[in-house]
Amino acid sequence: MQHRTTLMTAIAATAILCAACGSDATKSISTSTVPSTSASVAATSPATVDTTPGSSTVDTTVATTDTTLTSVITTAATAPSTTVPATTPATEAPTTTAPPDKLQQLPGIAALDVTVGGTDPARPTFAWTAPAGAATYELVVQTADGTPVWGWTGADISVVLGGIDRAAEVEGPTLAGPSRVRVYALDAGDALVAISAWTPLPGA
Amino acid sequence: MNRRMGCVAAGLLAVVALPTHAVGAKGAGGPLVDGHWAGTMAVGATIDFSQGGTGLIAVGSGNGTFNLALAGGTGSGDYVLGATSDATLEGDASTGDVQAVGAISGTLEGTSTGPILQPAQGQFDITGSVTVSGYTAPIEESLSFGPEDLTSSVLVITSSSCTLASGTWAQEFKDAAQAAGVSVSRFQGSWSASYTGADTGATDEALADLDARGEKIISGWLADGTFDADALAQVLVDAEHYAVSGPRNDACSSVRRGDWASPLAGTVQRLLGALANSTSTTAEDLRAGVSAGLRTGVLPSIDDPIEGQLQGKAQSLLDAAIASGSTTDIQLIAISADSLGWSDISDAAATALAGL
Repeated sequence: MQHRTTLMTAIAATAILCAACGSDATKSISTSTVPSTSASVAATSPATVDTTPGSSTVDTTVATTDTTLTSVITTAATAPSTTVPATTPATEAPTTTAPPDKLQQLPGIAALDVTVGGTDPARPTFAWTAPAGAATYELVVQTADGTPVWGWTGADISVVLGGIDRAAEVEGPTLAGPSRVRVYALDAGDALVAISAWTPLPGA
Repeated sequence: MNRRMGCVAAGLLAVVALPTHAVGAKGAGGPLVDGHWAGTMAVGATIDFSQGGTGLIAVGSGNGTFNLALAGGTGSGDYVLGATSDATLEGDASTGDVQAVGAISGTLEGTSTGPILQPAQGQFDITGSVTVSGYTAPIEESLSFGPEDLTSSVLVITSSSCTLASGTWAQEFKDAAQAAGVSVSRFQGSWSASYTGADTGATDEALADLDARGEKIISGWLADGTFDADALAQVLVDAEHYAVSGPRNDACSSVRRGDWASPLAGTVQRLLGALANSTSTTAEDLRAGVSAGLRTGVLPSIDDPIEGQLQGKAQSLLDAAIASGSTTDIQLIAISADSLGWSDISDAAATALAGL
């Protein structure tokens, strides 16, 4: 018995290193079981985001040809309106109003304003003012038709797409067409305290 | 350890001693570009050998490096994996603890869409003791294994670009153990690699550190359900810094700058799989996992079931949160669903919140 137990324990320690040995240390296991392995196919790398203009969800479209993009989008949950005053617009699309969605209409949830800036519209910088009680933030970028592109979580009130400023030629999350961004603000207990509208992004 | 044990060990190992051709060399995360890739890999495992009233659990981990050369899409190279394992025996009349330390080395084969780790040899030193009915037997032995005893494994590519690649491996080991009737609670690994150009390059220590930290987070979750969201957030930030600081190379010349890969993609994919299939997952865990998936490009998933599994988990968590009236949990699920475009779940959560 002692010998058998010793064998079992030692073999268990060895087996895990040698890639999952058999189940019973006291008997030899047939090699008839040959795992049929095949490489599972996982998601491919996120490619450049090819978005489809003309979102069915986002009615507001930011269109500016100014390369220094500084748009301020203001949305109030109680008084739904989305205005997009570009600071130095070369051209400006008509401003439309997007109705707040269900999350924006939740009682007790404040509105959050997202500023979209930066010199590269394909890799914009997002900023917002901290609402009362907020401790952390979730930011999500989607294509205009709602396909997720990139997400971020943190305590900062500003972040660039991709998390880190990158030189133009350095690979990283990049917008190639109309997209949108939303920020959720949570308190220290992870309760939602504020939410922004889906804010349109022109992309590259 | 005597000859009998060696024979038994060989018999046990034989179940996973696969010939090279048993592993399919395919995967859709690539292909990796031609040239040299220097990579690191980590693996963790927990196997239950218990029988009757005697518990025998082996827990192991490993870290290694590899150099992969791709020419015309065909892979070659070498790797070494260092590993440690601890087996604990608990029975009515017996106790024991045995450690094994060793290394496996081998070559890389396969293709640019599915490089294969083909082991050539393994050497292990085993020490410890077992006490049965008051009698203690020390163990101090060395074991050597050849290629016929060891299992090959595909480096499954989760995400790749012209400078970085990441994925999972070692799934074959779990499959083999389960096929042999062993209870395997976990046996999977992650890998990541950076492109070094026309010549073999040294493995990046920063990349190895990212792998090791990611493995630690997964191990903690699988061991006792402890999810270190802060550690995950920090390693994600560090991974972004690493990706930005990486050297540019000629492999990127014809690639769009929007192509990118996170060195943590494989780790996060494993984490998401664990979250989606665990009964311990909370709404906060789900939110952290979804955020990590979005940040590393693992989500939304393409040709992979992980997103569907997460969606199912979100729905079950929402049902439980609504039943218990947990406003915060419903909110967290709503955020996860809204982030990923799961409008049905997001709308249901919002409706539930409006009614509370």
